Amino acid sequence: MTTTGLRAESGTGPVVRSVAVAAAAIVVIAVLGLYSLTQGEPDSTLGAVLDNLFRTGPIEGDIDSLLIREVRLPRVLMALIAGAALGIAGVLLQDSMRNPLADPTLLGVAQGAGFIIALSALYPEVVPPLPTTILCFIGGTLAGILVLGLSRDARNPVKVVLAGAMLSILLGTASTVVILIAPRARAAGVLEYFRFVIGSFFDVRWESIGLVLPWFVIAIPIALLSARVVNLLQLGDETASGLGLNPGRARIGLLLLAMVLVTPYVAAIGPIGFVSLFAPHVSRSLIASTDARLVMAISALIGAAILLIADTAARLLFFPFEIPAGVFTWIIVGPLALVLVGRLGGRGATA
Amino acid sequence: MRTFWRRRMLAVVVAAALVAAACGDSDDGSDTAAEDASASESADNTGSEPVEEAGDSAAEDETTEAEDAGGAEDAADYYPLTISDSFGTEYTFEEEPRIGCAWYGCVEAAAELGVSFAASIISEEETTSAFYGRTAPEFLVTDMTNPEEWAAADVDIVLFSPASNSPDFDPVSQVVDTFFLHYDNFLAPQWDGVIGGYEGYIENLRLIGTMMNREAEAEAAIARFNTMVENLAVYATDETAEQTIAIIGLLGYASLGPGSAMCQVLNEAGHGTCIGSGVAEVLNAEAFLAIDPSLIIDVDPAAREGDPIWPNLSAVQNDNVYNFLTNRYYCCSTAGLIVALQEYVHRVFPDSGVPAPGPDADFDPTTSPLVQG
Repeated sequence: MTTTGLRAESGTGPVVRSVAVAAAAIVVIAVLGLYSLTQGEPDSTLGAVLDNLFRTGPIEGDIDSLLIREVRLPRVLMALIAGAALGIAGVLLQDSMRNPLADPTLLGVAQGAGFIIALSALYPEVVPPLPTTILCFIGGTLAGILVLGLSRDARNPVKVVLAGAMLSILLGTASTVVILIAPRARAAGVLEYFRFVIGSFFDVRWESIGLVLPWFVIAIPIALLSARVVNLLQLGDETASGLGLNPGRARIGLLLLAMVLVTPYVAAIGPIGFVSLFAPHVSRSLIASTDARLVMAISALIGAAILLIADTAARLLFFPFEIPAGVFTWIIVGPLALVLVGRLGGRGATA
Repeated sequence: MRTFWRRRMLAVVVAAALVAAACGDSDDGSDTAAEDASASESADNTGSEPVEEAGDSAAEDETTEAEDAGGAEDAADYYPLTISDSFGTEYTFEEEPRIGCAWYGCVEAAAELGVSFAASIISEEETTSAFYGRTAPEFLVTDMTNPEEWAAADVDIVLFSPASNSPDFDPVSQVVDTFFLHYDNFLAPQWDGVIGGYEGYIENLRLIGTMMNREAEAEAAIARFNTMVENLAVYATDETAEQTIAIIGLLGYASLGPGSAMCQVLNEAGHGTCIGSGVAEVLNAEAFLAIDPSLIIDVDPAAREGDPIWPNLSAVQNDNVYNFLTNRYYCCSTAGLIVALQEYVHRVFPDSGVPAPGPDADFDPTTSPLVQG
């Protein structure tokens, strides 16, 4: 893998391919985004969509404007922002851990948020009376910090992976126990928990965008700037040290960055699976490079496209009923991810 | 020698007298032992916890009342009894069975009949099981899929919802007979022969009443329910008959469909039609706005905060949204529906003077103003 990484950094082929893939992804996102904005009950014209995208005045009972600006647009934006963040977080985790199956579940973020949701839904008396999104954020962050604390030696990615996997299992089991021991009278809380863990855009509003956007604006430039560090870590800790990098500190920094990228989205839409695992691998395949600078950019676009497809399908495929978008990411990405695992297995055998 | 024989004869006579006396004592003694055993068995069944004793006491009171009212036939005449469950499986009881109950529906139905079960999965802390104080079981089962618990409860049969007819419950059916009631929930039944909606609740009253020798009480409860529907119709107008109703709460815009028991009753009493299909799918927010129900019953108003769709709904603009404190309209019995519909009348028709149903634990479906003739 390291030789591939070095080879990728030489020549203009990957850059050209990246530009082509990025252009194609942007076109797909634009077309799909406009389609999602026009479709619903009632459908809107493209003119109405474009008009509303650039208008900021009051809605005043205009149903078209209400649906486009207050219902559909926040969902499209959330899909794009969350997908991009998940795509980049996947690259950060896989490359810094040198583990092709690393994703945010590795950090325990999703399970930490899920555990606190289970507690607040079934035993609200033991959880501070805070909004669900804030509770998720606290739970996810604490779990991520705990993983780093438990791994002790961040220089060893295997330890971090093991600590993350163990804590994830522990928190997942704890959530199950909370559900099992809860009185049946609190069954509604179980539904709330499962609705969260599947992941959906049902409740996405401008307030949700307000929750995630600041983190996105702060973390994305830092992530792109840290691509060079990620490339060095791909070369192995010894080589990276020889080139002046402290691999342990760098890895902790990248893990914290991934946590900052992922936790707000888990709080807003739930732990939508597979995107951060899948998007980086597709990106590497499409541009035939492991250069983190290129892979991050492409992975962000592919992550955004996957979530946009998933949410559009969730909203429109069974209209007027709505299916959680998390179900569609599993349906769309799940089988492809299985193929990916097969290919990874083949490479491993060859190596 | 003669003295020897005389002594031997005397000894035989004395021995015979002692044996005769002992036999007489022996008869008395065995009776006493049987009584002790019975008392011991009764004590075992009753359990030692205060709540269980209270439950038994309540059940005894209810039984006495029922017998005073002439509801229950002499058990010797009533049993053996053969009865079929919702799937058509026949069961024969030689005597009144010790029954376990594995869902709210049977707990609440039994409460309406004034009897309690030998075992139940519903604890007294679970406030959604109304009138619990009258139906505290002798034995509380914590895991209804655990055969050991049902065996420990020493029940002859366990009443299950048809939704529990799955391999998960095979171990239970190995240790005790399982009897499936009609569907006691808000979704459409998915099984042949199983009755859903409020008719399912009514059939469950009949089944449990028949099984427990409380047929008269079951018919009285059904009559109360029918009276409630008639009383509800008094408040209907041409306007209410045309209204569309959304009953939402658990998941976004998931609304109870017209096939749910609550919606069936509202419709039959001239209070309009529930939106949606037969089950409670989550409606897309835009679709909900397009349907624009004229009356909304909501148990989770916090979920509407910041919802851009909400202020644009006609029901919201016309002040026709009612935040119910109870979620009893979801399931599981005629008694639960009486609670929900009393709240409906109390809130939607404040001039009716019908009071709020109050806490479930204090609610008595037999005295609700809605069931008075």
